[in-house]
Amino acid sequence: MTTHRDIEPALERYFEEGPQVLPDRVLEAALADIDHTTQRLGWRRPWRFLFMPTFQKLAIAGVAVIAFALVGSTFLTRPAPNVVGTPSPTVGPATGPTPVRFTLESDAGDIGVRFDLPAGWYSFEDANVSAFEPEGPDSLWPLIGVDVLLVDDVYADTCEGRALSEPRLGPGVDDLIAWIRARPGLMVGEPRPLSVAGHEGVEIEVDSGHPPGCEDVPVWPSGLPLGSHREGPYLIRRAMEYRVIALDVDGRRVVLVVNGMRGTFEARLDDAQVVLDSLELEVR
Amino acid sequence: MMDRDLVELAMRGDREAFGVLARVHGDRLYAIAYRILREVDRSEDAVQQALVIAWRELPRLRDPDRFEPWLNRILVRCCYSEARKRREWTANIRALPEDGPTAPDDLRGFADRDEIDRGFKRLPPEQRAILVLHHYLGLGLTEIADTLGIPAGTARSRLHYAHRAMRAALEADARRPAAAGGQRR
Repeated sequence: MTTHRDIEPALERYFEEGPQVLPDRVLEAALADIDHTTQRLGWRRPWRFLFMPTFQKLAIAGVAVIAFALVGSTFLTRPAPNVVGTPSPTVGPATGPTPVRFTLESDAGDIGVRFDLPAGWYSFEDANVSAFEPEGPDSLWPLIGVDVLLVDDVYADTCEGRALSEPRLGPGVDDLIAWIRARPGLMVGEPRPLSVAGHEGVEIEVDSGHPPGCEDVPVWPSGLPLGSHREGPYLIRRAMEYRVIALDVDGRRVVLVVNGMRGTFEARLDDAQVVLDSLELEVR
Repeated sequence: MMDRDLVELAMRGDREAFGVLARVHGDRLYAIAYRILREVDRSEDAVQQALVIAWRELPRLRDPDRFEPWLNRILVRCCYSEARKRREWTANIRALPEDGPTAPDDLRGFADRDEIDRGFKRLPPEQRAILVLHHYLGLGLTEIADTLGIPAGTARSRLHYAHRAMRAALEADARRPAAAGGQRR
C-alpha cells in the first residue's frame, strides 16, 4: 500500500536541491526600496511615551481631552459630511470602547462607503477594503471581517481564476446570486432577502465545495473591490466561512462579504453586525 | 547583538538594524521562496517584496521574539502573490484518489526527481508552501499554523490534502505516457 510516508523522503530529497544564498543584488535592491519606504504607525505606545514623566503624560492627556471635546462639539453642530476622500492608508486598531468611523471611496470615485470600525478591528490598505478583527496581533488572516466589493466580472473556470465569464455577468443583484448558486465548486445556502443600510438585497451562505484540484475557489477578481490594492482572485477558502450580501444601491450592485475563520465565524457574527448596522453607502 | 535587539531597533525606524536582519534572514527566505516557486526570478521578487513589507509593517509586530515566523508568513504571502501572477500555475489535477492501495506501480519508485518536480509544480501555491514548511523547514503542525496564520486543525487538513494532491499529481504523471502514446514529456 502506498501512503504519504512514501512521498516524504522523496520530497525531502527534492527540497535539498536549489539555491541557498540570496544574491547580493537582491538584498541591495530591497534595502534601496526600504530607504524610500515609510514605516506604518504601530499600535504599541510610542517608546517616548513610556519614558515620559507622569506629570508630562497627564498634561498631554489633558490637552488631548480638550482637543477632542472641541473637535467633537464642532462636528456635532454640523451636518454629516459627504462621503468623500480617499481611503485611509491604514486604520486601526480601534482600541477604545467607541468605534472609529471609517470612510472610503472606490478608485473610480463613484461610490462612497462609511462604517464604524469596532474596537479591536483593523483595516489594511493592502487587503480588500475591509474591517477585520485579526486572529492575533500579527495575523494576516481574519477571525471575522467584512469586505466591501464591487463585483462586475466573475471567473468562468472553477479552480484557476484565469478566464472571465463571457458574456459578462448581468448588473443586477439577482444575476450575481444566480451565478453563485450555479457556480461549480461552491456549496451554497438558500438566498434570503434582506435590507442593509436602507438598500434592498439578497444574502446567501457560501462555502468551498472542495472541488477536485483546488482547495480554494476563485470567484471574482480582487482588483475590483473598493480601493483594493490586492492582486489575484477573490477566493472562497476552504478554511473560512462566507456570507455574501448583494445590495442594489441606486442601481449599482455592491457586494458585502462577511467572512471569517471556520470555527469562530458564527460566534463573531455579532461583531460583523456592528459594521453592517453602521454602514452607509452612497452612489454618486 | 541579538535578533531581538535588532528587531526592536528596526521597529523604531533604524534602517541599519533592519539591514542586518535582512542579511541574517535573507538566505533562508530565498531558500524557502525558491522551493515554493521553483523559479529564480520570482523567488528573488518575492524575497525583495517580503523584506519591504516587513520593514513597512514592522512597528505592528507585537512580540519581537516572533520576528522569524512573522517574516516567514509575509514571505509565504508574497510567494502566493507571485504565484498568482503566473496564470498557468494552478493545479490541473482532476481527481484526488482516496488513501489506499490505488497507486499504480510507477508510484513505487518515487525517487525519480523529475517525477517529483513535475508533480510538485502541478500543486497550487498553498499546498506547495505547506509541503515546504513541513518537509524543508521541518516545522510541526503548530508551527505551520503559526506561520500561515491558520488554526492547527486547518494546517493538519491542509497538509493532508497537499500530500494527497502530490500523490494525485504523481499518479497523473505516471498515467501520462499511456495517454500520450507512450511519449514522456
